[in-house]
Amino acid sequence: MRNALPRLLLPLLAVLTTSLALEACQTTPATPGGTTTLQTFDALYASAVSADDLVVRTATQALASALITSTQAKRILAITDSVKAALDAANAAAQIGNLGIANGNLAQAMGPIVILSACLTIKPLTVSTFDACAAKLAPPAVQS
Amino acid sequence: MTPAAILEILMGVLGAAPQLLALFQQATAGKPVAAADVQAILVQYGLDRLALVDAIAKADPAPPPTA
Repeated sequence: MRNALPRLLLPLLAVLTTSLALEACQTTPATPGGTTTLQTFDALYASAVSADDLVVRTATQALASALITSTQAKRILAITDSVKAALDAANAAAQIGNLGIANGNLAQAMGPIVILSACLTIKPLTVSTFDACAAKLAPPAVQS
Repeated sequence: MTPAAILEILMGVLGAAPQLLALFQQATAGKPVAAADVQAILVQYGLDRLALVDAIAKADPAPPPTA
């Protein structure tokens, strides 16, 4: 059980790191040594939506187990909705070649996902520990 | 928090993590994701979101009956 948090957070942090790599790719399209170079936005978008989905699923289970309240679950729902909106805006911008807006929205979206993941896997997860953990949580600011 | 509750949460977390890792690996390898795969992820997100909305509705106390 102690491995649960790293196993959840590592992919999420990886996605966040990738978004920064994508930003770098705007001026550095390829690395001769064969190191990581992001070439598509679709896979990144899919990864980020999956991460958002993971938070939604974990919140549902936490609520069903009475580890969080319905008020907290509503807040999570509102944040994950705004994260999804930011991801959709990022994807739409990427489709028309506006990588600046795409990267900005993607980076904005990943912060709340990482925080929520950490707060939902905190030990012990209780109403008060979740509240304390999520105190500074804010929805992403979507750029258009 | 009961062990069963912990287990249930972890099952959700660990069950989804490999899928996320696989997608990330595709992204970093520069491999495109099929449109059908992206669509499937979006459909799953919609279903899971509805499940959360449903769980919230069930957890909320029922409104008092109107006379």
